[in-house]
Amino acid sequence: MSAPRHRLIAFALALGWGTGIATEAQESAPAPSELAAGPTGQAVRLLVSRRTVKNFLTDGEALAVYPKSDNAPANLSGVFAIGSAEAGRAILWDPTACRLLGVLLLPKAGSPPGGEPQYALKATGPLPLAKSTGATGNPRYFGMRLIEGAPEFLYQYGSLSIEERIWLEDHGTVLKQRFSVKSAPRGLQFTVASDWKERLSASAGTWKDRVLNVPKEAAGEFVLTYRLDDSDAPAPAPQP
Amino acid sequence: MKPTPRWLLLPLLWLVSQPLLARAQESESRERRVIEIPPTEEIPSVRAIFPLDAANVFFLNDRGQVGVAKFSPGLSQIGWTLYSELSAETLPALALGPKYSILTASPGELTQAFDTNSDLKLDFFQAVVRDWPDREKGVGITAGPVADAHGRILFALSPHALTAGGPVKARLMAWNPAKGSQTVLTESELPIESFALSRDNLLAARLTMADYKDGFFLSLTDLPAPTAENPEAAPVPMPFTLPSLILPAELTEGENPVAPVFIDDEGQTRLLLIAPGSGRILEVTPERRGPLWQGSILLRGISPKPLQALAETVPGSLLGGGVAGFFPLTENGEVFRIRTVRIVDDGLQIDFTQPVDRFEAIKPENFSLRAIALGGGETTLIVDPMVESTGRTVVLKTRFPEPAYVLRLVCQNLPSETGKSLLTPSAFYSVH
Repeated sequence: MSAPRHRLIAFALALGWGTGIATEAQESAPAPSELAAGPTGQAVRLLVSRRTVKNFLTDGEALAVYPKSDNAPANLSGVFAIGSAEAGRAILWDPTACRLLGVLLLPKAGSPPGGEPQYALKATGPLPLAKSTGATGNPRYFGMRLIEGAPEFLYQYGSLSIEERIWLEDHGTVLKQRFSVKSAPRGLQFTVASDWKERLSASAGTWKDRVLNVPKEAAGEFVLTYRLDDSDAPAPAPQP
Repeated sequence: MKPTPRWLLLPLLWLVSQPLLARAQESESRERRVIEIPPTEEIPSVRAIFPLDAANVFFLNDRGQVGVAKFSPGLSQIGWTLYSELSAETLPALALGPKYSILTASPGELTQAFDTNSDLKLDFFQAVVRDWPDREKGVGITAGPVADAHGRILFALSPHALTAGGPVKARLMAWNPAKGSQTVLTESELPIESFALSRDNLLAARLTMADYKDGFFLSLTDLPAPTAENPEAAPVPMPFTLPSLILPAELTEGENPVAPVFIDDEGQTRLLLIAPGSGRILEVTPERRGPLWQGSILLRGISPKPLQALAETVPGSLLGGGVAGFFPLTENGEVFRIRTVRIVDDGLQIDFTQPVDRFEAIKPENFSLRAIALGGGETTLIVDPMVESTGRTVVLKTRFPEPAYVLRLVCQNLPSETGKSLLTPSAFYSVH
């Protein structure tokens, strides 16, 4: 039932680490100073935790990656929560789906306890890279490393070996998501939900509707920037 | 909290290449790492302790963060620091893996963590085990991790079937770091909620039996060593984990005993478990009888502070941990308690930590000894007490029924020679 060893080794080699070998990882992991796309705004010190969260996803396509059962999972376990009190937000990233699940708005001081959690963004639709050549099956989480306090998630999606780093800037009003995919000879197609698209800009690639086409030359590193400050965000569409 | 000024840092050395680790890493690097531990008045909330040597331990706090703490020879805490700031919903156990790694487990993952950039903080967390049968149906890790003497990392899975329609059993698994593979080590009809492993591969597993209110099942099983020809092969025949002893609810005030740990008590292997709510520490002395295990079950002590974790740093030296931080639990001889009970040729021998009141100890009415048959029924045994010359040992001369019973001993109205009352008058002995 475990992952074939050769796949993990191939993945590790593709990403330049040893499989579970600290000294090798140490030798080959890129040093932060070598990374072109580090924080450009004022970085927020992040608290990173793993926890069980009540499943807040409602979209059937977003839930399709979870193990099949009669109902949607009641809880999502082992979810990474990345946030800070300063930011007032927590970014949720799930190692089962290997995707950014959403942005949880932390209760403000003085808020009555026990209220329903509020989310600024919720994942919908298939996995963002699902349209990319080589992205087959379900993604497979490998591990996470901390680079200058920011979590970088490492996973395999079909033949794609992906590093995905997440951090907050400017008092938590800006979310950045850096991707590095070293095995995408035909580039990447990154699909976002329509309500995320309005908040999003990309360091590389061209947009066609909700799909960001990233050329193979840029797949090694591109950064998505999400504006989280609701005061600047477009007003939500009126409910019918 | 303000960062500790650099000049305040004590030059305390924590050497990873101490003997315990060296045994597991003989072929690996001899690199020595040092963690400077700042003095602090802050108290860690301790959920699990992994001793490195007499003075240094790893621990898990109540947020699932890994820390390291240093102690004086008397187990007074000198300082502590976090080794990882990542918090997680981990099970209350830690294990050391190869290449200075630390392993933790949650219901959904066995995680191996490294300090890859040598800044003395864990920064790389590899999910080494996330796949097992029936995971999608809720099967998960229930206990562990524990490292065995062969470099494997053991963890328990909740009951599942290996094949569709196959028997549903809980399984103790071994993750083999060198190959990344998994091996089934033993199976159990009942879920394994915690376990410990002795140096000679005796597995003590606490099994869940929710409907049974009088006690708590403990299984003692010999785990075969991996074979040289095929170290990843499952043992043949597969050991089956059956309840060996019942830990009486009477000794824990009805509380579930957790956090089993083997200790070396003057050359005798003993198993300790704790009841966190009451701070009670149970002591089991395993005793082999043919293919089965039996043994005595006593109350060893009551913690002066809330107790969630227990570890033996060196033989005879116990360290406790809980919401009030770390505290030594080494016995100082002041507590008057039953130290051991054992079956001898002509009866039951009871050793006490202090001399008993001889006048009271020779009265048969001050002892109650009953044999509760495992198949049902109860017999009150007639006893004739004899006090040995030291005053610390009483032999209750009696005749026992055929094996397969639990002895319940109560020493009522038996003070020490200085008038102290027993910590608890009760002791138990499972006989197979």
